[in-house]
Amino acid sequence: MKNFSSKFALGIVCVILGIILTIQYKTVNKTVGIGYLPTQKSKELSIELKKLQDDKDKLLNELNNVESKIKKYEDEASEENVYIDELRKELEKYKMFAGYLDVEGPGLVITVDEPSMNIVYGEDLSFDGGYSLIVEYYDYILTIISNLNIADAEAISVNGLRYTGFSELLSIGNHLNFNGVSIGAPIEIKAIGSPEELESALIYKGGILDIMENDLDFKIKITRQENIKIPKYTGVKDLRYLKPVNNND
Amino acid sequence: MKKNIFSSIAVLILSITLGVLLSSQFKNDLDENSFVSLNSIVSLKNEILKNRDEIESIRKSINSKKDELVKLEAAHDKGDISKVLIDEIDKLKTLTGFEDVWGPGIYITVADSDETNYSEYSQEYYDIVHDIYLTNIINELKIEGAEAISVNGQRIMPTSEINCGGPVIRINKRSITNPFIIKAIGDPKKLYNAISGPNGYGTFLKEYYNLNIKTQISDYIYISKHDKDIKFDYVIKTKEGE
Repeated sequence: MKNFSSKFALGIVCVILGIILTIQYKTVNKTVGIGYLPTQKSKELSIELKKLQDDKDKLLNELNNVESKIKKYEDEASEENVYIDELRKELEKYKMFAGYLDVEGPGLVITVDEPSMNIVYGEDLSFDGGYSLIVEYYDYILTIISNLNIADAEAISVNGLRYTGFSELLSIGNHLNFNGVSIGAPIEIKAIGSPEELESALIYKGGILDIMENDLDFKIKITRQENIKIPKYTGVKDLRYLKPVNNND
Repeated sequence: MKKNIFSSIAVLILSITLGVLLSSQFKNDLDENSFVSLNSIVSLKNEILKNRDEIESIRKSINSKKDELVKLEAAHDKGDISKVLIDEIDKLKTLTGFEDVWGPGIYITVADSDETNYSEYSQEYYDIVHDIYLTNIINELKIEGAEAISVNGQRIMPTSEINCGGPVIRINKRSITNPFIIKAIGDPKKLYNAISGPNGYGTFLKEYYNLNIKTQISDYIYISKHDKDIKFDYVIKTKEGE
């Protein structure tokens, strides 16, 4: 009889062990994909990312080449002629404003990251390959940009993408589109302007960052920086409907 | 008795072997690969999507720059590039909002609710026009490719803020008041759908917050230019080769 009960106990332990093992494998399969180890998957993704970044660098080089050729012609002409030099300065001003030039200056860097995972689990939201709180509250990013503009920000970028007059923010599934480019958490907003003024336009009691941090548990980091570099807008905006009103006609 | 000891020794040996095997398996994994969190996999995926889109837009940009170069070369051969530069300046002025412009598009009137009975929503003051409603409407218009937008005459610039100033809303450091008239130039049907289509944002505001929203398509919409000049105090152009 004693023999039987010990065998029975052993049997139960084996069953429990089996269940635990299968649960473990199932969770990994669900989140990473069937037939992948997390490490394997992440290696694959990093290789793909590396390749894409190389492609992008090549293309950026090509773009810079063409631009430097244009600049060469303009340089030549402006050395000969003061009028052309003035025109170039004017052109540069509008290019900077439109976001077609790389710029730098002092300012503020704001990083918004998702709440840590256990909070998301706690609210019983399924994490199947990426539920994102920032995607749901994407208009908060628009408000941050608006607040930066209150404090006279002179150039703004979101995740390295220049904010222009046409920049839209669109939520698609579990990521966002900004300037037609997919972005996701962490969101990094850079703004050039007076660092003190930019900061005080954002941080106040009941302000946008206060709400995001304390009510929604976003992880927010703010740093003032002496020299922020903001890249130019690399896309093209075609005007298909808009026509200038010609005052001379 | 003897048989019993033998069998339990067998079980003991087997469990020890299993334990050693399992732990060696886990050890192996940890040695070769560092720990990867699910979060980092998601962010890798995001990064990949972002790079793909960027590559696409850089390609387009290269093509348009090449066109520009061809024009400049032609002008250079003639000996005067000022015309090309002036054209370029005019194009940028139109693009950024320093020119009066016209084109097909829509008018949207957004006004506070007429409701005088206090409902559940109106007590929280959801039924007056808030800055975030305007921000979202403008964002929706941009998503549908609006080429110029103004609110009560204030042209929306990259530097425009839309901010609550108590009874008024402030845009371009000016106060504007209810009702708000938003003008947008672009594909009229797309713009109309974004606001007053079945899933439009304006429809949502109308149904949930009782706001007065009217949308009207027009073939001729005139939007005046931004009347302040560009002022840069902090930002400078990044020098080349850095």
